[in-house]
Amino acid sequence: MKITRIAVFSAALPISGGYSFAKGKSVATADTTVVRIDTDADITGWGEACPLGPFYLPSYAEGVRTGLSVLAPHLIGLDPRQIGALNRKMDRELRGHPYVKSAIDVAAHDILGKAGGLPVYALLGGRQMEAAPMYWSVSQGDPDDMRRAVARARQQGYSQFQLKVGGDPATDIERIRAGMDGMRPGETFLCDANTGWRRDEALKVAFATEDLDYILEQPCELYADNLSVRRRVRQTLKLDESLQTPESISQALADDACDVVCIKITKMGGLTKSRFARDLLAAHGIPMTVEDVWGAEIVTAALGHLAISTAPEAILNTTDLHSYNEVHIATGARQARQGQLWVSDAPGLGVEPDLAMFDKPVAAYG
Amino acid sequence: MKITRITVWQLDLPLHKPYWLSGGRLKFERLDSTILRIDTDESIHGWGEGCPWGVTYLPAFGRGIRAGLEELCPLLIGQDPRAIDRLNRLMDVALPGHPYIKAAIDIALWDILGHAAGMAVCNLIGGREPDPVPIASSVSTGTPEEMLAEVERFRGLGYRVHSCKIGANVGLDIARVRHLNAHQRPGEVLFYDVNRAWLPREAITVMNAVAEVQSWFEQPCETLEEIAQVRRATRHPICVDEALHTINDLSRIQREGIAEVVNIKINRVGGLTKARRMRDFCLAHGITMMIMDSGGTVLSDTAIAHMAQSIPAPSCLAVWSCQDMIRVDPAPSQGARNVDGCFTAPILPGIGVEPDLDVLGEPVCVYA
Amino acid sequence: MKITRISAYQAKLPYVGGTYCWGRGNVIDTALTTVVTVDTDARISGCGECCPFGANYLAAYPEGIVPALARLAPALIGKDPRQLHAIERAMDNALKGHVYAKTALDNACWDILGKACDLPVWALLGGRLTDGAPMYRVVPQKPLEESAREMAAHRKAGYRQFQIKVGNDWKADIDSILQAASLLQPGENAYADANMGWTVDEAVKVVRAVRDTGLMIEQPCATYEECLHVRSRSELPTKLDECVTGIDVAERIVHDRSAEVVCLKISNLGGLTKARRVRDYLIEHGLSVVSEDTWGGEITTAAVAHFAASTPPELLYNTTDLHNYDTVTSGTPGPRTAAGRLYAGEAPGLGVEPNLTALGQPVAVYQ
Repeated sequence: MKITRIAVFSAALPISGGYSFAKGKSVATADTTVVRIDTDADITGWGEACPLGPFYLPSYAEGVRTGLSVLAPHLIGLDPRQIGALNRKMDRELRGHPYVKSAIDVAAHDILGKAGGLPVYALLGGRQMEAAPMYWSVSQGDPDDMRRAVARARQQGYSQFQLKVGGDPATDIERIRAGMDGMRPGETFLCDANTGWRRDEALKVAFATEDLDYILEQPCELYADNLSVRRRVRQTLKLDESLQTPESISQALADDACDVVCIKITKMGGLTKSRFARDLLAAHGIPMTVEDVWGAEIVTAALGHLAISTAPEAILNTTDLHSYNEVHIATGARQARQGQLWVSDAPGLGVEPDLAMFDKPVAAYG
Repeated sequence: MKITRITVWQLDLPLHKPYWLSGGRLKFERLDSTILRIDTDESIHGWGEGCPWGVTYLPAFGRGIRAGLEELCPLLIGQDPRAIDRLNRLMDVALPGHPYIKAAIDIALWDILGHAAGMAVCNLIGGREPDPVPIASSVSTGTPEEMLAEVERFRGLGYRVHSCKIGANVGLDIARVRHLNAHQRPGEVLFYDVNRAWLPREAITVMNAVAEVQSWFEQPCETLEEIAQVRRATRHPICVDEALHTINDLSRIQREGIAEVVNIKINRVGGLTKARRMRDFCLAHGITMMIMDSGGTVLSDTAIAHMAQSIPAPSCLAVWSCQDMIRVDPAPSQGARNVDGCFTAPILPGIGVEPDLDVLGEPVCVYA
Repeated sequence: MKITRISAYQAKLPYVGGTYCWGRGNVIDTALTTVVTVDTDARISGCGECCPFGANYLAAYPEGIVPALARLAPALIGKDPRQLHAIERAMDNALKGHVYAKTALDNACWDILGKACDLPVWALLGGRLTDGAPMYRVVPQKPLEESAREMAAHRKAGYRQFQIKVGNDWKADIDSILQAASLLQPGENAYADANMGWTVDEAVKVVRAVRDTGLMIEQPCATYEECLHVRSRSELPTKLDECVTGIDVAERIVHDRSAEVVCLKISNLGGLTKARRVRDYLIEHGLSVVSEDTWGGEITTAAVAHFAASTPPELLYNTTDLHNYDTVTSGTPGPRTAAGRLYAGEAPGLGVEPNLTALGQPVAVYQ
């Protein structure tokens, strides 16, 4: 089997109500890139990569498409099912920039699954659960608005909530108290600062809310700062932005740097690297959020397969990213309801992109 | 898909000639292999094998596998064999440790998944690298001249990588290493496998006495602590073999810089699933690998070949072949065979080996 | 003073020696450089240049610069280019990471600041501590007789430092290193640069085999951790290069004492602002540095020259005249070189103007 064509599309994803997080950053519309890989065997694979603005992680939408313009021509004629070799070819042609390579790796998994008649989760270790528990992310804002957003999500069946903090510490303390007001038994709360605090600000917020049971997520920017905060606060610590590669995870394990880790497929550079990171963490008893940076239905399909193939005791939660957008790009793949995410048993990702939307590529190679 | 039946055979594998290792402390003449077949309700089945190298080499023994299978097989009947991670976890909960027992089942599960997908196992775990993988010969412990004659014999069979077994006698070991090193040919790889036989001071003495040798020393001492101690006083590259059982061992090896090379034996680490995780860890951290097993027929050898075939060449230095050392072959002409001193994983679905039931004889147990 | 317009130009820079082999089997013959000019309302303009060395050497690729500028430039229009830290913050807030794309803008602002103060950039980086920075010459991966001839020619031209390119075949590399050691004359330095080409076990074998030469080994393996491991097995001095991507790595180097010499490639660090911070930190801790960049023409080399000139001589290991490796000029004049030394001039700013003939029309303009 050979890759005959790689088509790259872009779509705007307006976010319902916009999405605000640390340091005053916010995104109203995300710019997603969808990749379609066609082969000489009539099998087509789809992947999607959607940075959350250019200031959340070192990735940006135009960078995805520019990087693909350099990579894609080198991949034409290669066997997409040889995923290890495909990744090494991408690394040989372009160093770094994992967010550029991610959608290709995801599409290759879609193809391998279809070629073998297997759903992608079967390539990632097999099904470990019927459906994966989801969390709802509450955009940073007025404390009372955040309390109401939690209540609405609770009504829709979510039992895990992530409050976006990482702004002014005094307001963040109010946000946490308001958001967690009315917390029910069995619920899980995460308070995610997305690197927004200095050390002393993180300590201030953590000490002031010590009586509340939540997971503190990515308080500071620098790894050393997070490590320092961890050594002094009572809260369970989750890291996200500090862990962008599988090697960094080894370091975090060695340093006992955190209790929970966030795996984001595009951040890591695709399903291959994400799966390895997931396996390493599961082997060390560290639970994970299995998700992605942002995206629509294709992203959710990919993260859904990775989530569903994770051991129940190793997965904290996943998320239905497509639900936060007002534009939808595909059907099939996944269902999200009552706080749980299901994935399809169809071969590959099991996702059917809306071909009318993906009619005119911004670029095509091959 | 569901597992409907697991059939277990025992197979004696006499060696062509007796074999000594670990400084001649341990002698081997016959291996006790366990071969199993997992049948499903969809006319797909998978084969696996577990064959320890005698009972003294590692904490593993043939009868232990069959005893352990009594615990595990009943739990697997009715399970979906394609949920490989889940079944590994189930086995770990039902019988902690004992990876050498679970390896046989894990290999069979990958055989099934490969048949279900119509793909070779190497293609399911990352893909097929183009080059055949060199097989390391096993040069039994002996006098320097005897060992060189063995290397010569293996050269005649096409081998370009030679694992020379030494250990337990400082003077003799220095002589062995110097003699073999002096007769090393260009393009050949000679390394020295001590199989835990040295005390730290012996390891330091020998390794520092042969400073001109460029190769690595494998498992010079019993434990990771002892090897780390030796490392601090020596400069040769080091390979860890027998002390590598779990991913935690590998994390520690990387964290403390204990070795540059590791020998991943499929059986010892618990099967292809766990071996693959170690492979990915090694690739992420620049640790070079050899993929081997503790013993077995062409079935085990072919499982090795699939794992090795998925690794880019600079990172996988060699595999090992037991088939040429034993006098029994349950699948003639099948599987990975020595071609010009190398293995290639078959281009067939699954592992690609279907043993002959006549050679296997009557099963020792059937679980259904 | 406000930035009114930012323009980006691109040009191909062919390697003067034909094909250039590096690391494990990599080959390049032409690099693509990007030159950025920044215009202001005070009729002072500055220029900067960034030339990634192909797309697979560092996490930087030439095609990735202009799209990143589309994010960065609008954030700078209307800002005061002389407020270097404010410019740095504005860029980091507009686009995370991608420091290679920020380099040319940062350097152009230094150029403007210098012109505004009527001072050369070295005067703003601490002064001219080194007058004439010693340069090294590359001895590429070529047959040994050719390398010996090249070394002799460089020696004649006044060079005293030689970088032996290795990393492709560890056994042949041992011979190259031993050979180079035997060709050295008193007062000369040579070091072997593997450009990340060896696996860890190969590197360990090499450093053991050549330990009697006493030659420094540069970036044997791909990552910092792998190089650290090799160092633990080596008696030879270590130089780190490609993994030096920021102050965090510099801190690890100081903490681990994992290198004797640290190569500072300005675009690997993100421009003079970030590079200067890393340089000052390292020399404070007694580590020597190299001032250079990935590739580039006269504008890149001007920045390299000012950076070198403002480094204390006993802690400046060497530098290099990158523009002399190309057959096309990106700017004029190039920094002066004589008898194996690189000089930064007296002219204000970087002291170089873009060569618009070679650069042609801008590929992007922001205002």
